[in-house]
Amino acid sequence: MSPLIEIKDLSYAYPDGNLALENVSLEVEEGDCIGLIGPNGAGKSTLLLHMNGILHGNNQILIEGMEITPETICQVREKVALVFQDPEHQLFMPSVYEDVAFGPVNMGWSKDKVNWQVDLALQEVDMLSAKHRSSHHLSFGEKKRISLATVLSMKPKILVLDEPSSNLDPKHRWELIDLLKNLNITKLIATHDLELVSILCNKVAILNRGLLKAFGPASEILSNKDLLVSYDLAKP
Amino acid sequence: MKHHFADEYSQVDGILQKIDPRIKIISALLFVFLVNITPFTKAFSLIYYTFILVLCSLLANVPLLRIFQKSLVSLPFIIFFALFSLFYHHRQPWFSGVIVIKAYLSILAMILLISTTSFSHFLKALQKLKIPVILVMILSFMYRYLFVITDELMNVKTAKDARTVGGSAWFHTKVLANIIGVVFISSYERSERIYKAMLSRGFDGTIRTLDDFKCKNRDYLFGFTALSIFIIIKIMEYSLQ
Repeated sequence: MSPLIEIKDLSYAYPDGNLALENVSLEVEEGDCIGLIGPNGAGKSTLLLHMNGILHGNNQILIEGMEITPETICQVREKVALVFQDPEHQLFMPSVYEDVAFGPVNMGWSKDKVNWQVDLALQEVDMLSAKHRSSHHLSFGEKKRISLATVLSMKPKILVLDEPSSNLDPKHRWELIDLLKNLNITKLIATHDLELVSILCNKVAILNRGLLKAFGPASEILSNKDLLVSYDLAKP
Repeated sequence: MKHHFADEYSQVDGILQKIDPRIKIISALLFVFLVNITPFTKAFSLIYYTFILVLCSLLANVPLLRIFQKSLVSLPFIIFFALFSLFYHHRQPWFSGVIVIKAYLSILAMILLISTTSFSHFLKALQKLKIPVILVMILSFMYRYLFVITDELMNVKTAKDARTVGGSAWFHTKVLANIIGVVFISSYERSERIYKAMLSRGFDGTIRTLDDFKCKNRDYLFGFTALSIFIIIKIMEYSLQ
């Protein structure tokens, strides 16, 4: 059986020539929760942006065996959902309902199906009561939850999260960890939060300066202090 | 940071809030049109329109004082145009006074409309009324990010103030110009990231919406009443010399 995500020798350079990813190869199986860790500027967010075709490196990513091309991009975006670090970027519509419905509407679903999925997604993140509120009236923790709902409503197979716990207070951070733990879906999480990784992830990948330095079971990688220290991920 | 949202009275329990936004928009635009075509010689009929506005704000449970407070920001512009018209038309100051009243009534009507309609419903109603979708989207983004960018501007200004010791007024003006530049660039970069977030959720350049407005009897009644009142005012205007 082919892996859910297959990244083969992916390289990407930004227009200014900065090489953000270099020959990154990674396989994600169905049901995996992979923690993508590394210092700032390691290329974590750049890799995530490749997952649903926002950035195009050397096109070496296969989603369920399907190459990301202009012809397959819609199918890919239905399968891979991307949650951005800052909820202000994710929530751009005038109301929570319209934000959560944005993806399903673009997928051309019927009105009834959209309404049903919006309610379901908001229930999953325990924010159904905020359905008709404006996003800018919400607290940061609530915005993070709604951000998650905006992609859950699209019924994706893979959830890609960029720094999900950043800027959250301890209470909201634990609520988010619980929420993610209960989501039975393949996850790829870029984060600096090693505690979150140890709770949620079964595999960990370390990126440093665009290179994949380590990939393996979370218990092995997180217990290898020398490895973490060498990439500035733990105190020496 | 605390903001006063444009639609701050949209969730208040009032008759006006329950009316279909499309009917409200059409009625408000008709109101503005009729106010502005009122001849200068029949300016007394502007009292009737003022009375309608007072009645509407009572129906909407919106404090009149709040509407006036919100309208103050527009007053300098209205006065400027009135003064300009004074020189242009070579007319008596009284005519400029009528221009001020007409413009002011129009703005009050728009404030009342926006205050009592949830902004998302207002946008959707505009789209249903065949306003170009691209304009509606621009309005939508403007409203959504106005507060975010204002917050950003205030945060950068606070950071600047925290490091400010003395300095001339000219120096502070120059720094303020730099701050505006920085916020402009960060807003531009933010727009790039928002576009990426839109793309990742299947946006392909086509704006799709779910329309679910349905006019009820009370909406038709409101529209009919508004139209009748406007006609009566116009008849009175021309019958009374």
